[in-house]
Parts: sequence; structure tokens; C-alpha cells
Amino acid sequence: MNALPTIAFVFICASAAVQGAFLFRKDGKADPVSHWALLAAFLALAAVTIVRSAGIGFPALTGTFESLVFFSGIICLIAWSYRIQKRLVFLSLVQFGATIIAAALLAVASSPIAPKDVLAPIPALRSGWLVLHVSLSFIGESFFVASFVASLAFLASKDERKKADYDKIAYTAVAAGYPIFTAGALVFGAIWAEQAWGSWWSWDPKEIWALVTWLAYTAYLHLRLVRKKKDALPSIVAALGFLCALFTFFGVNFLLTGLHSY
Amino acid sequence: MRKLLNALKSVKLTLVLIGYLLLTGIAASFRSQGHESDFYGSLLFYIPAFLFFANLAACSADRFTRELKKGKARRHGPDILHLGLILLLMGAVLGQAAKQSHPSWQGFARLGVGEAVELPNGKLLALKALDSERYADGRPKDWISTVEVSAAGKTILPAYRIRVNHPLRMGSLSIFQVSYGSERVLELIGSSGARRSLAAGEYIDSGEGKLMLMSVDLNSGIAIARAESATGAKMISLTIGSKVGAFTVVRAKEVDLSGLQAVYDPAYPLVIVALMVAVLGVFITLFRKLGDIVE
Repeated sequence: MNALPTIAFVFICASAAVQGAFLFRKDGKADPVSHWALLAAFLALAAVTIVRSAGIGFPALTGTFESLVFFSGIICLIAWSYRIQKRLVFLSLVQFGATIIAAALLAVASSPIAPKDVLAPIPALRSGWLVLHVSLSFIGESFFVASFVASLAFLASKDERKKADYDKIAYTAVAAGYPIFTAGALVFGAIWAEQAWGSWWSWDPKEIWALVTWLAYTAYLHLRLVRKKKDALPSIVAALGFLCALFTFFGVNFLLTGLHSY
Repeated sequence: MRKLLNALKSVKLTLVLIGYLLLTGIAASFRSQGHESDFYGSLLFYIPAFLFFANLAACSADRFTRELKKGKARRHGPDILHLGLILLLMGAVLGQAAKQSHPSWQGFARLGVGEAVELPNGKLLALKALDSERYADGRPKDWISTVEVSAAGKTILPAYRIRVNHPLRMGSLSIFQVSYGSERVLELIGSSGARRSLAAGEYIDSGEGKLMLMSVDLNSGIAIARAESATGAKMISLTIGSKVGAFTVVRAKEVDLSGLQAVYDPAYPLVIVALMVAVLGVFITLFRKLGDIVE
């Protein structure tokens, strides 16, 4: 069981290495195997979550290690789905960037800042609303990973055709992730907070940063309405939005104190 | 007037206000450090928040009327989402106003088994049993307070189990299980046979003035108290058999106490409806948008 995160990490790194080698091919052809390694990594990480859930008798999403395993696994799943789908143009740099972020999150999960003890949750965390809150927040943020990478690629690219493709991927990823994040982070989070603490909104640092992230993506979507020309501003906002999402998880947990300091 | 309305329904104004709320939110989170930030009770927040509400309402009304003219091609996802946000802001304001107009309706009480507290709505809540479930490693799994609610001497709720994440709802008043702990107390018996517990920090009439219990030692059964009278205050020790006003100390003991929080929020049902409407709207809007982008 303890080896599963390591096995997943090896699969992700192997996938990144193959993708990296193919990034520099002039024909732009994608490799035929790296996405299967991502699927294998997802399955290994899903197994970690299932085994830990069985061990504590509750969905294993309440600790830092468990959250990072889930987050990394969902990014792998989305990167694999993106590779096998046929409706959107496949851009190998987006998949590569998402793979690197999944590996980085898993590396953080294996570090001392994420305790790996298999511990059942405290009473306040034993709630179905909390499970929806955490899982949907991370699924939404996993789509934001794709928008982050595509936005950075848009900003770095000089090729107008490629810029349009990156822009479309970023927009699609936000359009998919935003409703899921809204439901998870804000709506189900508010319902759980009311049941656990008696207040659906407390201006707690974690709540404020979830709202900041949501406002950043709301600004992105509204910018798309008013700016017909495809300039850099929406991409900058989308990239900053993901940095806000990361700070909501890491920064608030380790730098700020509040109701979410479990 | 027309210019003002046009400015109010501008998406550019929306973006400016979102930017302001975003940046001030970041600053407030660093300033608060675990406390509720005073920024959210200031005009620096209230004025832009009100403008945001006005902007949202104006944009929504304008958009809705434009969409109605479109016939079959109309899209109401954003209207539903905006309606949800408007209702949410209204719920937040109404909830806050209700809390401020009924400050005594919010409260916290720690009860031992057999003790009761009068609720803000006039009903009496008595703790009948207190249980805790624990995991195999001893960590807490759940805290359960079995309570009885009565009004005018008549039981209206014989045995309700309040648990963490499972509050007792009584209209707009909810009772939450927020803590569980134990406390050392002195058990006293009165001349009529009535018993009462005295915990550290609590006062009792000593006959000559007030007496406040400072600490209780379970091993020796000796308690330290501060006795206040017209001539001054002094520290005294109490042991089994000591007289305290009309009471006699029976024993020192440790009792389990349930921490119950009363919250009054008549706007919470509106908030729930608003959240559901907003989620419905955001999914309709963005899944249709997703279809457009992909095609």
C-alpha cells in the first residue's frame, strides 16, 4: 500500500520524460504511450484513496496527503482524457505542463509537510457535505491546471494559430472547471460550514481565498465578454486564478490561521 | 439618469468591482490572521458590495429583457446564476440584520447531564444524556447530546440527539454541538435536598456576600474559593462538609459537559435556495458555453 504513491510518481515521471522527448519533434506528433502511463498513475492513486478510505471507514479526503493524492490523480485523469478525446485540438505542451504539476503535487505529498498517518477524521469533518466540498473543489481546480498551462503557453507563444488554440483550451478548461469549483468550494462548503459551525460564511482566510479564486475566474469569464480582441489580459487573469487556487490550499494551510486549521 | 443606469449595468463596472473585492480580500486575509477581519464590517467593504449588488441587479434586468426578445435562441443560464447571486446577497444582508437585531438569540452554553438552559425563544432545553463515540485509537468520532425541549412545563420534544454536523432546528433557531469536555466541580446540597454543581469561575451566595470558586483538587477534595463580603475579599478553602450559604459541600467530582451553540438565522432557508439557484445557473451557463467553444 505504501508503495502505491511511489509507483504512481514513477508512472507520472516516465510519462513526463516521454512527453518531453516528443515536445521537440518538428512534426508535432504526440507520443503513443505517455497518456497510458498517466492512466496507470491515476489508477494507482485511486487505489491509495480507496484503501485509505476502507482503513478509516470514511472517504479519505480530509488530510493534506490525501487531498494531494486525490488532486494529483484527477489531474492525471484529465490529462489522459484530453489526450484521447477527439473534439478539441491536442496540444502536447498542455498535457506536459499538467503532468509536471501532477508530479510536483505528488512530490509535496511525499514530503514531511504532508503527514501520512492513516487517521480517521475528527467529528466536524465527518460529513457528506464535506466530501462533496473537497472532492468537487479539487476536480474544479484540476481543470484550472489545464487553463493555467494553456494560458502560460498562450503568453509565451508567438504563433497566432497556436495562440488561438491555447486560448481555446484555456477557455474550455475554465468553462468546465468553474461550475464544478463553484458547487464544491463555495456552495457545498457553505452548507457544510453552517452544519458544523452554525455559520455558512465566516470570512475565514480559507473562505476568503476560495472567494478570491472564484472572483478571479469570474473576472476571466467577464473579460471574455467585453474584450473581443484576443489579447494577453484574460490569459494573465487565468494564470493568476490558478496561483490563487494554489495559495488557497498551501498558503492558507501553512501561513494563515483560521477555522480550516485542522 | 439614463447615463447613471448605463454605467450601473456596465460589465466594465463589474470587472472593476470584482478587482477591488479580490485585492481587498487578499489584504484582509493577511491582516485578520485567524480573527474575523474588521474590513468586512467597514464602509470600505459595504459601499463596493452595495455597488456590486446594484450592478448585478441592473445587468441581470437588462440582460433578461434582451434575452426575452431573442425568441428560441434565448439563453437564461446567466439570468438564473445572477438571480441566485442576488438572492444570496439578500440572504446575507437579512441574516446579518437579524443577528444584529436579536443579539441575545446567539449564545453558548455548557451543560452537564440533568442541567437545563432557557432558550431565546422561551423554551427550556434540558440535557438528558451525553455520549461520545471514539475510534479504536481513542480519538473522538462523535459527540452526542440527547436533549429534551419543553415549553410552559409541557414536553414538546422528548429526546432529540444533537450531534456534530446534525443540529437541532427549531424554526429560525438552531442548536449546534460545538464542543465536549469535562470539568471539575463541587457538588453542593441545600437544606431542602436540592443539589447543584459549582464550577471554577462560578459564583454562589455565601450568606455574607458572594463566593467564587477558583479551583478544585479531586484527590484531596479541597477547593479554593474567593469569598467577598462587605468587609473585603479573602481566599478560603472548602472541604467536604463546609457550609456555603444555604448549601453544604458534598464532594468534588469531574463531570462531562456538552458545549451547545444557539444560532438565530431566519435567512438561512433563503441562502440555501439562492445557492441551489446559483449552482443550477452556473452549470446551465457554462455547459452551453462549453458546447459553443468546442464546436
